[in-house]
Amino acid sequence: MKHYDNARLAKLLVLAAVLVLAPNFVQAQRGPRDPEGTILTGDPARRDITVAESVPNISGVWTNQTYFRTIRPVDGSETPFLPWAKAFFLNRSAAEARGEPLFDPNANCIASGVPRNLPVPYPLDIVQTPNEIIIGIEVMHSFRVIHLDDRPMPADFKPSPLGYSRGHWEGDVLVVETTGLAGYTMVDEEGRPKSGSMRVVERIIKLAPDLIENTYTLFDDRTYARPYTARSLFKWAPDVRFGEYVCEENNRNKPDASGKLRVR
Amino acid sequence: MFNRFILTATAVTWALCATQATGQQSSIPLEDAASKRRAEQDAGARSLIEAEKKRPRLAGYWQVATPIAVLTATDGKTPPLNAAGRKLYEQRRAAKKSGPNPDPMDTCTPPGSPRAMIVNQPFLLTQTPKKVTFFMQTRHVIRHVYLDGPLKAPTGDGRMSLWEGTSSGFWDEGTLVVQTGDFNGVQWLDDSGLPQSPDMLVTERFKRIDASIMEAVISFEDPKYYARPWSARVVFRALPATTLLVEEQCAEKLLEVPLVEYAPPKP
Repeated sequence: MKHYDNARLAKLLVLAAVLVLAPNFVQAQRGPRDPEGTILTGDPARRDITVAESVPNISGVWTNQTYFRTIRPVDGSETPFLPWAKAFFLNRSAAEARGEPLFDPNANCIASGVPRNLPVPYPLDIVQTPNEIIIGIEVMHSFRVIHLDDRPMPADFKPSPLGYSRGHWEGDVLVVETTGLAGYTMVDEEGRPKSGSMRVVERIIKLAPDLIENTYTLFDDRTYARPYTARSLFKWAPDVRFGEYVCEENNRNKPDASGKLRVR
Repeated sequence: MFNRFILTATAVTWALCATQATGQQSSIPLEDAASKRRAEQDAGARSLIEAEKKRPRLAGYWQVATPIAVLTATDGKTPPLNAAGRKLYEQRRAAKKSGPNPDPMDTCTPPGSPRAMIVNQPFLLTQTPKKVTFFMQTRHVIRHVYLDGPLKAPTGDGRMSLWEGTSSGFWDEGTLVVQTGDFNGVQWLDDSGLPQSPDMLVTERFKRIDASIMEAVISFEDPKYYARPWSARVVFRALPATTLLVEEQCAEKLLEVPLVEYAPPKP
């Protein structure tokens, strides 16, 4: 009987220890803090000063550390294609292997959109304001506006490559939900398809002062048998300034003296 | 026996807490060069933030009060084109009448500065101590204005020849001054086809007039196409914070293949 009491007490103590330690663990996981308890910032002078200081600072320029052409499940499992999606993907891969790639809206200057622009090897320039987080994207000079006011997507929203994003902070994690995505853009460079019903949920967190992790889950039951999750890491790049990326000009095709453009 | 167990367990818990706390501190290597650099930057940032607190607020959604298809100088006259400028302007007007619109914006290229702001589309202006950024609905271009002071005109190898140009800004009392140069000389200043040479210097002076109005007095210096520097005044009205910028896909009209959804229809 006494033995049983000790075991129960030990369990209680372990529980107490876990409760005491848990916040420390979580904090350690979420990155270093300065003595005042705020997370060390990327660049405090690169965000709107009216944003509350307690909000983690992700403003400034970030470069992708994990460029990949494919958005595969981070757990190493196979992409959970539905049959039509697998056939679509294999057809595209085979065409590319033959040197006859199929039509890609992105190669024709249509924004790559979400989630394809998440792992690209081009810098992102993030600005935080009290109402929104804007992610400037160098490639094809586009930008995402993430609304922080919990407004639902307007009923008449026209589906687009970047869709409609709204976000909120769950502690130190920025959770962004994107809907209203067009069904004509691909998930990734390799050509995984998606439907107009895709919903993307991103969880963005500072792992260290110089490092952001974006873990994003794709929900699309018209294309994939189950939701799957991928991950990208971004490093702080305070000295990087965007170049001018003009897809329509093909950047190698300068207009001639008369101003004539050759759009390919 | 029982008390000893409690004492041991408590000691273990405290020891774990202490280890964890130490571990946490050591996860910030203060000697680390990167940390040092960060600390310096943070100190610099603090003084910039203090300066920013004294500045007027221009941040928010804006749209030109009256869209401008043809820029007019502040004296109410047409801009003072010189002979070369007039020749090019007349060429463009004639080409517009006779064939397909030769306006570069029709081929989805970036609209340039300040043209992106005078067409009838909203933009989001963000204001931070180091940089002001214009996020334009028009062609979803981003104008990056680093608050580095007056523009140092790029020369030689530094010359980029850009649609949007290179901008640099500074605050002059309550006015945001943005200088832009390094253009490619191809984009039109407005829908009518007023020319802009690669050497044009555009100086915009943004001033908040009241809660709902911001004005920009924009001066153009371009001896290649204009007889003398001239200015135009543009008025912007504030839009609600709930404004939703529409994602424009200009390139869609250039496609030979229609955009379709690949997935089978919903069952």
